[in-house]
Amino acid sequence: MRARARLLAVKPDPPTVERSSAEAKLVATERRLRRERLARREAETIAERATRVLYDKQQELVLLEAVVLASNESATVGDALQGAVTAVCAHTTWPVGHAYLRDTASGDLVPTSSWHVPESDQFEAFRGMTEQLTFAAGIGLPGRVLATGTAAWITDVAIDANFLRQDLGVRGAFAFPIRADGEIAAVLEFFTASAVAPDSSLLEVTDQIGRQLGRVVERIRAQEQVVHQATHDGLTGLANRLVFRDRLELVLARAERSGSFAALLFLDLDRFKAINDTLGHSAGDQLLRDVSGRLKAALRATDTLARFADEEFTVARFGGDEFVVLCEGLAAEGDAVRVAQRIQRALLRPFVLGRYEHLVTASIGIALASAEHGDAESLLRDADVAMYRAKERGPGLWEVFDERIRNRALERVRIEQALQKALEAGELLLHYQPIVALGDGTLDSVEALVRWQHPERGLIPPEKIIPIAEESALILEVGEWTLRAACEQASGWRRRFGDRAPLPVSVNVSARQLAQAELPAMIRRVLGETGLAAADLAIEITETALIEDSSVPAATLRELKALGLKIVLDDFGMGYSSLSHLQQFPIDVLKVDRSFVAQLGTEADDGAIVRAIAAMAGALGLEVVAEGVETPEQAAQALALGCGWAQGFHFARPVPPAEMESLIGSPGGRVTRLPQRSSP
Amino acid sequence: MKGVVFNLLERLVARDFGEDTWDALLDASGLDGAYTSLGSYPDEDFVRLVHAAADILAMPADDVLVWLGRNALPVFAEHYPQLFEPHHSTQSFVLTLNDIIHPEVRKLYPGADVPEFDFRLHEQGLAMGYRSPRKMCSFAEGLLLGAAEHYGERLTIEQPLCMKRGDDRCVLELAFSR
Repeated sequence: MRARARLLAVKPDPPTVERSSAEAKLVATERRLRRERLARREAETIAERATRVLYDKQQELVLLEAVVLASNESATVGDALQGAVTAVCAHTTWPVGHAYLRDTASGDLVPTSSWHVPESDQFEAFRGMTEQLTFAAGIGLPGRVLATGTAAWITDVAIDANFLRQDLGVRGAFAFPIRADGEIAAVLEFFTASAVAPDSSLLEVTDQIGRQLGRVVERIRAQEQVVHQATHDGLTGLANRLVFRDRLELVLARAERSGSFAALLFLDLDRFKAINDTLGHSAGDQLLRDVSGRLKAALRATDTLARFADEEFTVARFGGDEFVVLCEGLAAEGDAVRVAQRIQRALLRPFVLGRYEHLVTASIGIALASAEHGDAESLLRDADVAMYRAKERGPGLWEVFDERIRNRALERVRIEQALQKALEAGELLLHYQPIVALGDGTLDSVEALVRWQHPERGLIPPEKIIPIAEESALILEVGEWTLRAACEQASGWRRRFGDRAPLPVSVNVSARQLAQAELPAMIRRVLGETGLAAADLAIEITETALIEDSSVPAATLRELKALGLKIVLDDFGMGYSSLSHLQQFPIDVLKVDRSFVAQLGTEADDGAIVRAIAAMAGALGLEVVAEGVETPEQAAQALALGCGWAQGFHFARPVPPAEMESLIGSPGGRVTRLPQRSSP
Repeated sequence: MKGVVFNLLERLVARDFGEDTWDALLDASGLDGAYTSLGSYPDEDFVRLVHAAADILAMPADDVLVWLGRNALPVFAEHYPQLFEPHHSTQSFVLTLNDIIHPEVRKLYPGADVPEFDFRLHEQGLAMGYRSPRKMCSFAEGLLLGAAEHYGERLTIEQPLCMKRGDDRCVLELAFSR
């Protein structure tokens, strides 16, 4: 106070003059001066206030403009939030801003990467803490905003009981909500290093920012939904083929650089069609959703082995019951198999569809990305091929694609193309195998078997042709050709041999043909065109064809039966159909599978299976044919066990029509033992 | 310099030394003394008034600035309580200079050319850097003393660096106690 004391010391004494008119004038002038000064100060105060309001409004406009600009330029919600955080920090000159997004599942606020922090590490600890926290309604500053739906201001967080991130360098704080589609979608929070009293005009602006950003969030969400719908499977939410292909190409390029392994798993549910057909499409859809959920869970679960740490998976649905899994970052090629096993384990638990539990397995084909598998297309194809190979071996298995499979696939494609040409060039022909009445050894009927007279390879048997044809639509053409040729032949024999003709002629019909709704119409047409009576035709179907698809064939078979032809169940005993299952089908004849017949007469077999089949067939009023009879002992046993008819090399191999005719023409027509001779 | 600072000087001189003293300062400086708070006036005018006060009051010009700052602070506290109320210590208040107080000054007086501060907290207290072409660190010193009085604290100030002595910035070492 030294200076003050000295200053006071020099304060001049008040003047001591007598009151006079001059003095009165002076007093009046001083009063006038005071009035003027007061008026000036008031004018200045008004002007200052107006200047401040104007300044604030201008700044608010600048802020709003910045927010609008940033949000218009934003392609993602994250960009829009970041733009707003930056603009608010620039406006307030507060150093820290951050945006939370509302998690749609939990409803909590989760931290995002939208931050504004100074370059120095002054608020690093605060940021680190914030990034570890999620806030439920009512908890902390963001939770308060979420609970009340309005902005909140904390003058000093250090003396606020409901502020969690204490002693991390922030003091003044405020936060406000962003609403989209009627709900809080995000919360923005801002901090400064010192305590600051609430600023009501700022809170008003944040209200406008919240509305603006809300509209942006709604717009971007709508866009994202459109994009999501275009890139994801609507049923399961998994990526679709489009996205998966992109991802696959990216991963292949990356795997090449990183030296880690990538693998593609192709999954196909076993018996999906049966479930879909018997339980209905909604149950089928439910199963696909459940399977997708199990896949995601199985691939998300971190394996206890550390080597899985770098693995990443992309799951997609290609349509139907086809799923694909892309594995990247595998440490070794064998890990792809482990992934397949993990998936198959995840499917072991039964699926509850409707009121019952169902066991569902998947066949998995695995293709490993390697130098030769540079492109996505061939990797997808190979995984697909391996999957089919796995399925062929049985349900619930996996198969790794390798060169052998590739060659087999290539071979198959070659045969398929050649078979197509063969059909056009008339290289297919039919041989006929006699079916003999075991009681008296007479020729009873024949089975028509397709042969391919290949110009270079010679005669190719049906076992090589049919499986390949069955995988493509060729089976329909081959099937129709076979039926027509057999009917023509049978019609000719009926005219030529009358009652001695070995009819009906049995023609094999595949599962795929059976699934064709127009099959009965086609058969009726062929019968009409060839002049063959329906009673002279039998169609043979395999037991597995009935199991694979239970609803369609029953109706089709009844329609065929109504035409007047016989229905033969081929290879019986190989499927797992129960008696009650078979009863729904109008079957006339059972053919006991050759594997049971082959065991007859051996020491291990007492003929129980064949006897049981024959007894069962008898109870159902079905005829029984023993297939693959190769020895006199087997023929005798088959007869003894209750089979009325037999077919096999013991009696005759399949023979060309001319040979068949000489057999028909032979005196007595007995076929006790035909000369063993190989086909030309 | 903004007219509001001239007004402040006028108001405090008139309050403590009488209006005649203010007239005497204007006469000695050769200035007409018509300053409105929102107007801007040459820095030179203010320097001349401070030097005239130093002459008439027979004290160093820096002491005039310390006195001005110390007595200006209660005026500020009365006019802008919202800047003071959130704080319970001088240091917490002082740390808001760059981020809160001066931005507020600019809102009231567009174009105000406020000094730049930097702060370093250490064990003994707060080192406050000051940088302004006006080199009015003494005014800042007075305001700091006034702020300490406002918060009921004792403040000792040492000044290891000063622009007037040729340093590129002033540093005020502040030590607070209750």
